[in-house]
Amino acid sequence: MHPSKDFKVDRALPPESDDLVEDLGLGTLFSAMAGADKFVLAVAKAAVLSPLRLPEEVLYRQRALADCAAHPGFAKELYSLATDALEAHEKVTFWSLNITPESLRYYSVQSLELLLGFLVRLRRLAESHRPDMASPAFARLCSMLPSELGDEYVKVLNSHLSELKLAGGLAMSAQLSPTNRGTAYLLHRAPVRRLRERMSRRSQASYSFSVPQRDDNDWHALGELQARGVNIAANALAQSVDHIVGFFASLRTELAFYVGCLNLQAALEAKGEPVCTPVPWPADRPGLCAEGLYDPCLSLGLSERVVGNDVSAEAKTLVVLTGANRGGKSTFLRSTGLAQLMMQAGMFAPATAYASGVCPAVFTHFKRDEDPAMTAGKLDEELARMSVTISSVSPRCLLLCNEPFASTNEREGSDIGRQVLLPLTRAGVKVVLVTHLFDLAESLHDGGTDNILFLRAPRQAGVPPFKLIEGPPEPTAYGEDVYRRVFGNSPNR
Amino acid sequence: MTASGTEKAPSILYPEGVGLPSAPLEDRRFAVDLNLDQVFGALNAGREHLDLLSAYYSPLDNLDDVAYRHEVLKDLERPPCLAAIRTFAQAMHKVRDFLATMRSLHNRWQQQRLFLDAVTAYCGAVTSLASALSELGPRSRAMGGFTEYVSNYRASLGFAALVDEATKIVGALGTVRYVLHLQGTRVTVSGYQGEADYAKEVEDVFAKFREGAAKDYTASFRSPLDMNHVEGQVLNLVARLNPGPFGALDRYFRLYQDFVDPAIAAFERDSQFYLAYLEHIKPLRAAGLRFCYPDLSTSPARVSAKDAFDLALATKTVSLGPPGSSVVTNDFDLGAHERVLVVTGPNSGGKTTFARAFGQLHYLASLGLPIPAREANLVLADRVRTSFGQAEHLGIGRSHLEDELVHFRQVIGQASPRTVVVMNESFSSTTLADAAVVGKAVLAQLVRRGELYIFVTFVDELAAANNATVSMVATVDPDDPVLRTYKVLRKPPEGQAYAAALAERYGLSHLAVEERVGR
Repeated sequence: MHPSKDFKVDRALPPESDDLVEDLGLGTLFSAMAGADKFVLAVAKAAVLSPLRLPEEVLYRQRALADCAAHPGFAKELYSLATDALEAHEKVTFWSLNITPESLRYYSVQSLELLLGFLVRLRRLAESHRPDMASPAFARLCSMLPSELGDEYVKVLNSHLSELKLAGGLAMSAQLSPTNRGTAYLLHRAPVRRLRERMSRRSQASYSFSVPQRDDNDWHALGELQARGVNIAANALAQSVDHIVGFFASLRTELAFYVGCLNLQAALEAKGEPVCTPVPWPADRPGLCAEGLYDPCLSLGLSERVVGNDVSAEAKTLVVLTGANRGGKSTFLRSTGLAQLMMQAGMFAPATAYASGVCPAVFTHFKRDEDPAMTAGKLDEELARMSVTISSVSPRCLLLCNEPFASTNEREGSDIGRQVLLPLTRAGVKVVLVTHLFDLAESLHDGGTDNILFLRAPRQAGVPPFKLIEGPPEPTAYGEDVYRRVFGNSPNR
Repeated sequence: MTASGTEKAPSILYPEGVGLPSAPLEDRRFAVDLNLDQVFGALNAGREHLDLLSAYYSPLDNLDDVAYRHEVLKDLERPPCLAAIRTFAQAMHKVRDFLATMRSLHNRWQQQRLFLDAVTAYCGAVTSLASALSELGPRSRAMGGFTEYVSNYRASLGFAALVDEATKIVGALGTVRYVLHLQGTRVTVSGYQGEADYAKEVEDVFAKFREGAAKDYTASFRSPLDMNHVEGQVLNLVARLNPGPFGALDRYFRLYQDFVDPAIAAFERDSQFYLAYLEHIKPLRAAGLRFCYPDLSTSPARVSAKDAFDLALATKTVSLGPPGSSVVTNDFDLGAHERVLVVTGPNSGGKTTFARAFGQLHYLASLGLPIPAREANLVLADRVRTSFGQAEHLGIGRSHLEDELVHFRQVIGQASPRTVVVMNESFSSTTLADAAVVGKAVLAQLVRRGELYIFVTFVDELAAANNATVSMVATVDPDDPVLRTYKVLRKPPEGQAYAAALAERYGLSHLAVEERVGR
């Protein structure tokens, strides 16, 4: 997922995430990626809502995803192997409040034997696919395992694990502390050979005693002595378990993302929807270009294909959409947000072509239902929300506004809109604006800057597909068409 | 063991090496009345093993003995010297700690090992003390003599052997390493033959899996000093495997049971007599109170002090009182012929405190200690006696007044011209007129005998008993008679001007009582 760090699922998501999920309909996207796998769902959510900030990072994942797309079986096998390893480990894990070095040693040896088996299986799988891998991510994974985990090393590890079962008893040595207690305990290999030596050759002096089995205190004391002996080795073993478990956990997490991508791609392709590998521009390059851009969530909910839009907004910092109701403006807004987030997660884009600058964050400012608690009026509520957004938005972020400031009259709404949006675009925030505020749209249009692109939903009497066209704002949204559709007659009559 | 070739060590308490027998318990009543028992209790606290109390209850009887202690104290009041003694005391405390710990253990090899620590701590204490004292060069007869003794002792062959043997044994035990093999219920102990650290090997082999920040799973063990039964058996077998060092340990333990030199032990105890007191008065001095070495005489002479105060009360005020609480000090001055001091004045106006201070000054002076006053001329009292009235019940079937008179008779019978008697509110259990009559009669007896006498009373008439009597009055604030100044001044008795104001304060004025009763 990253060239040099682990991907964390439980990371804190940006504060705007909840709005994004709701406004862009991301839930549908995540479900399509996850299928029934809740783990994939969590990973998909974390990945899509944590956009990468650099084009290189995007490319790194795109290449890895390309490997997975070329060998979907391999990716899925890796994922299930990691999942199996973790589940197997859980079964032998010893959870107790009273972990002693002795119990730690016992359970760690068991766990390590299992995990080592999985590592060897993983290595074989990696070895067999190594030649096919083109991405740095998978090439590294496939070459790391064989080189780090050679047969010889595995043999050595296994021999230590069997030694550490302490079948021959526990051998250790100690020094005398300043109070003549034992101290500086060292663990030694069990003295199998030495016993034999003692039989045959000159014997070394030794004295023994037995601990009566029925004496609880003595048993406890004997246990503590053992604990002192195995303490350090048990620590090393337990840490190794943690490390290998950590490795499998991150492998599982990362593969979950790619598996999710594969699932989504399969679902879209089954419908005949196109996907493309988007081109991430540097963050400071304004604008975006798309061909056949569609809303995958909308498509997944429909039986037929949806219509894609083309937009050529290179070097534009503001895209203003006006025009007919139900004309596809909101859909376009959502598809832009989705495509941007998917690109910045390293996924494919829902378009035949998509290119845009990577942005630090995507924000949405959509209409909200009225505050159910009635603590604030509609405009109050909206302004408060906008204020929160403004406090986290930074230059080069993408802000998607769906009919902002419409809860007051057009004049005021437009005025507020200008006051808010112009400084934002001037600061380098990329804004896509859907508005019915003709005053606002017109003043932007007449303002004469050429870094604004105006798109219009055409007047149509029919049903989707809708295609946006470039064009200046118009004073009507063809509301009477809608009226007519509903009432069957013109509102003017 | 004593140092060879040195004569008997000098005492730092007595020029002749011994003092008078200490006051028997029944004669320690005065200390309770003067609250000196609190002071001595505080001095003794934490030093119970040294039995300092017997020294504090052994007053000196001649001026040279007092001077001998004053010299020692002047040495000890030099901070480096005091520090050296304190360090020595702490080290000796450690020695006793080791020995006490040793006795609490059950395994003999562990006991013997702690014995080594005790001896080593002792040797260290002696060595440091000898160097410190030689370097400081104390000027007093007592400390000079002891410095010579301890230097010789440290240089003695016996002392060197004590140190060297212990060091060798500690070294030898430190090199012992043994192997334990635990299998089932069987524990086998054998010698260590260079077996490799297997945990290290395991750590290395698994190092690849332990990169980065890893949780520490190593257990930490409770290690009570006393070993459990299994450890004890192991240690016994280790001792069998290593007869060299353990044999030497055993021999050392037997040979040096009485390793503390008696003169060193005596010095530790005696130096604490001074140290405890100096440490006790240190915070008082820091609070601005003054202590002095009084000029003493053994014949009737002027008796005076400036800024005298009650040591017990001042201790409480400084340690427990709110910050800035001040201790009221008082002066007194009696000519050679004035042997009786009568203090009158309001209740809780400082009379008793003043009387206690008077007794304390004399008693502490007779111990050769610095006394709680800026400067003082005192008689070296052969005895300090008290009669604090109400609390005493000498016999059954007698009236209280009778008890008091019986006690008085005893006091008078034992008194000499150098006896200091402090009487507090005596004869108060009879009528005022009776008290005046009886009191005058007793006073007259005492004056004839020439004892130094302080009499605290409400009875103004006693204050002018005769020309050997000095009147002092616990005063109140002239502007607000309810406020006590705790100043006791030499002047004629004042009557009861404060009473109305005090009554008001306590809601006992005429109107107040009327009102309260009316409810």
